Amino acid sequence: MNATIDNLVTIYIDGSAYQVKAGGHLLEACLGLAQDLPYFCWHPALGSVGSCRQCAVQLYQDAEDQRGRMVMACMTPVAEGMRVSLSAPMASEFRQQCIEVTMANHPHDCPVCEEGGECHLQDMTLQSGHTQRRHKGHKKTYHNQDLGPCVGHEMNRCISCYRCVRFYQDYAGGDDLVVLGSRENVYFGRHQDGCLTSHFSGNLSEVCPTGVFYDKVVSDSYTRKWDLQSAPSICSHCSLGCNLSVGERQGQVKRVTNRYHSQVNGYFICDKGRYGFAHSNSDQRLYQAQVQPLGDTEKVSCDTLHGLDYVAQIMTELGAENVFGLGSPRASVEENFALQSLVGKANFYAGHNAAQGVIQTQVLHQLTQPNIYTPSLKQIEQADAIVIIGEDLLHTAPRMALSVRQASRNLGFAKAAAIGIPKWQDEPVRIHTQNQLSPVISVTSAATDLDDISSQCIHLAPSDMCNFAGALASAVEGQFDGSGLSAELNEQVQHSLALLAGAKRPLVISGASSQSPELIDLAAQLALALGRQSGSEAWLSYALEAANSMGLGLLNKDAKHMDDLALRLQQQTTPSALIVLQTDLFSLSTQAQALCENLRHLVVLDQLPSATSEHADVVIACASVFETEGTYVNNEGRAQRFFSVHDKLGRPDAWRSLTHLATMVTQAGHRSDTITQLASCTKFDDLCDLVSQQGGEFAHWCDVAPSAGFRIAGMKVPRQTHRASGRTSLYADENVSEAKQPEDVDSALGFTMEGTPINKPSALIPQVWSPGWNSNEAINKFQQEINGPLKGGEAGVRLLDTSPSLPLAEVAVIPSITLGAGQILAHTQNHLFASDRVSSLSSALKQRNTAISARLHPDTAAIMGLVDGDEVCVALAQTQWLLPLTVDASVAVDLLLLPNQYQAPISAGHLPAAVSLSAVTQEVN
Amino acid sequence: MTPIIATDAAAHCADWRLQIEPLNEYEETAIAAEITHYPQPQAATIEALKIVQQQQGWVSDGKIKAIAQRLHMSPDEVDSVATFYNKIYRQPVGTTVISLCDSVSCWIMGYQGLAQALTQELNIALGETTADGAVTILPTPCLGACDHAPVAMVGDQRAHKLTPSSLIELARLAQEQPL
Ligand code: SF4
Ligand code: SF4
Ligand code: FES
Ligand code: FES
Repeated sequence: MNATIDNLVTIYIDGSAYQVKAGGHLLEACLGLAQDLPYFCWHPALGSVGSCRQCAVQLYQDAEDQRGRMVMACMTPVAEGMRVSLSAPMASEFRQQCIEVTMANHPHDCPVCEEGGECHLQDMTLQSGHTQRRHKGHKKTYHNQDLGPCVGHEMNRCISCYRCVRFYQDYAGGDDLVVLGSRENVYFGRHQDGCLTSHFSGNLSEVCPTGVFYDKVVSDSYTRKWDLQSAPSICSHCSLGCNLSVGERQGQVKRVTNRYHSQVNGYFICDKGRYGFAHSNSDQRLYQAQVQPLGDTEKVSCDTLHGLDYVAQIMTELGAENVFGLGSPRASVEENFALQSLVGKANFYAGHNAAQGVIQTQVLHQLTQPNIYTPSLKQIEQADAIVIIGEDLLHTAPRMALSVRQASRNLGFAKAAAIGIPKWQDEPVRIHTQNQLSPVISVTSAATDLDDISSQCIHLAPSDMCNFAGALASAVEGQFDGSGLSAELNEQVQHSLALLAGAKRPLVISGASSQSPELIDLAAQLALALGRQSGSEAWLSYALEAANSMGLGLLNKDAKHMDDLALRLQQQTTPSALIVLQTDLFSLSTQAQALCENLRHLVVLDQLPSATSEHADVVIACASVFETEGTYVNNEGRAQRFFSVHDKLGRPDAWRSLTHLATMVTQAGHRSDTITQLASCTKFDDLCDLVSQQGGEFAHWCDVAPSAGFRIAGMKVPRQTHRASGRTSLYADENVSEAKQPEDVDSALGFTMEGTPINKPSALIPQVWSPGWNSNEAINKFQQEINGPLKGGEAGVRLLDTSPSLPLAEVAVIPSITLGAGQILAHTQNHLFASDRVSSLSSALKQRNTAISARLHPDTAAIMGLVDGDEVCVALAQTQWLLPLTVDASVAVDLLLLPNQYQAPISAGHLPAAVSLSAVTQEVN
Repeated sequence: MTPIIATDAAAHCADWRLQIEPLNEYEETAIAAEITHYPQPQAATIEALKIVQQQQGWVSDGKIKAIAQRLHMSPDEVDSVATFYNKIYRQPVGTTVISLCDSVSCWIMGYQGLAQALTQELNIALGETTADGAVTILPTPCLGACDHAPVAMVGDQRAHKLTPSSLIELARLAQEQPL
């Protein structure tokens, strides 16, 4: 614990003295001391409201006082010398009676309840000692609502703790889940049936202590928590790296829940992270290698080793210097590293287009500058003024939007603190601060979901965003003359300047989605200027393109990308081959076709088919993120390990295929250092050692998570729970004799139930459980203090903190876009639930994809003679896209926003670009 | 290739604005006047609900949505306020509403007898409306007039120290009123 002596107080609990942190409340103190005290309405991230009366304790005046009085622990600040009792009969009987009343209406439907076996209400009821139902009256029954494909509703189970609405409205800013009615007749739901619109709605299933809000996707293919085989994982859907706990049964990934990390996701993840796992179970998966010998017209399936053998022959035939590799920001560091070792650094390119490549080197350069610090999501919550430039965070880095929302409350917290109201006193803080929010300045190309908490919303085209950021940076430095800016922009700069004037902990957020390297640079200039103004380190955070953009950038510091590769292939005189790792060239660049035509062989390693795998002559099927291990480096440079959840497919790890390939090629006579080293790797740890030998940012690679040799009391950490059932019969349909538990030589986790469920290192916690605590609330038993780091320390390693400044790679300047006659500049509009192949395979998320349309400002539409609802044709080179038009006053003028949709004719990788836009004329006859 | 477009999304996320029951001219003007009294339009929610109820006799789902649009809120937020107050009716009620207090003082002083007499007289249960649409009986918590218990509200008049016969008398009068 970091608390220093002077902010500790001594309290006496049932006669024993304890030192606890001053400023907190009794409930938090008791739980932090591993005491069992029941609670419902308090939540570590939502604070206290004292409404459920479950955390009653007896408080005594002094050592003489024998009677004491009852107080709610969650509402009582700890104080020096305080004497309390948890076991006093008065308090413990009260807690028991409270539960009894709460349970009077409860349906007692645990056997058919999704929450059963991991229910906070079950745990607390038992803990309170109420075990016999005495109430004989009728129970109330409610109508349940259809809340959409993700969250189920079973209102009868409600205990009116108000956690759901406090999370949904107060914490996440949603406005379509409310409490209806009053008195003993309250109902938590919507005005009418309908899909919950918050992108964080899935957290309700974890926040609700009972089975009212449950995970509908899990319910559709249900497994109890104790029957899940689980592993710690990292979300693969955006660059933030939220920690996940992923559960499997019978070879199917069943569910994803939040896994606590004090600095990253805390207690909450977004709905994409929670519901975006179906790709792993998809029947579209590639399960076998496919080879199409030269001259043949069709691919034939074969096993992976034969496929690899074929690739090895290609490599031998063409010569190593003619084999190229294309890495992926969606693949792990280890997978990319293995590919890079196989083809050699000189032949390794990132699966980026030119703009993404330049952004990558800019990001690394800026974040390793000596005066710049990139905060974690938890630290973002401490900022007292935030400028967001060019990112629609809810769609590109959703969990960060949630952190920004919390940061906006800092002004209120400070005001409340000034009159002695602590932050955890949720209701008094809200009443005292009303609508006052810390400044958030949001500069985006159209309205975003953070507009409701933004002090200033400016909607600009990306080039104007650059002008704005540059002008604001010089204004903060006191060197702004306003010339060259429109009067309107001038005024906005002045307004921002005023809002930011008193900031002590300012933060600038930008990112890759506006595809503007210049903006990345200007955001850093602004952060530095604000840092100087506030006299502190400049805080800067970038939302990046994919889960491992940062890791790939660190492996590929010269920022070579797909367009460079296309150029190199054009100049190649000898036949060449390309090995592509989990990337669809066609969605990246309009030059994909030309690139493929310059290749003799195209080899694809992927888990799902794509346009690229259709063009390939060799396809090697590989593991999904849930079937292998690897490391992603998130947007703040934090390397985090994920582990295979199950091995039903026999572990078709991409990294292992690449090491096999290295072995085959070595045997055929290739002897490059990197290939030989790669060939020597037989286990995942060998590969990690190789990565750490790269030194620099990778020097501490082996600290990211314990190695496979790690043991607790001589045993591996079990992926299964100690009460997992059906082990002997689970696969009886395949073979009646119980199969041996598969071995895992690649991690310290075992595919087994043997081993201790507690005291695990933080990176190796498959799911949380503690005696008497079956729900995810058990997390309090794993934390050093409430809301603090886990007992095993923070998992993962931040790589950039000690990194020397990384220079900007020499990259070709991206030609600026010139608009031809009748053309308009088109940019991408991101959609969290629609942008990629992976979420298109989750039927729950697909249903939540809102209707797609192109968007234009009314003035721009008027000039082009278009009206809302028109069917328009967007043309880029040879490609045409017909879609409806929405006229939206929040869109910047002279800008066309095109939805980022998987398999759309024009993908995000093709933009920004000059396109032509015309109404589709209806044929008259 | 055609982009994948979700088809049932529309059903799940139907735009509530399409189901608005527009405010009439009086409601529109009266609510606009209320809004001017507060820094935030949301503060006029209760008044807006009262205005609509005064015009319509009750507040329908469509009117909830109309108020939401007018006050820049979600229908859910408006409904949360509307359902909190038992004097805002979210279902049609009779011309006269008899709210019979069932809290402790009135209970002691004879609520049960009153309830029985009234339901028998009107031949409806608590919470129901007579077939002719004249009277609705609703139980209500303490009306703040315990010193006159047992108490009921008949329309907007409070009736004190009720007996079964005085209550039936009031109910008959209510039934005779023009609808
Ligand atoms: S629905 Fe769940 S979270 Fe909401 S009040 Fe009821 S029990 Fe609490
Ligand atoms: S915010 Fe990003 S990393 Fe976190 S759960 Fe959502 S998609 Fe995954
Ligand atoms: S947890 Fe303390 S009153 Fe609910
Ligand atoms: S109890 Fe009926 S008026 Fe108070």
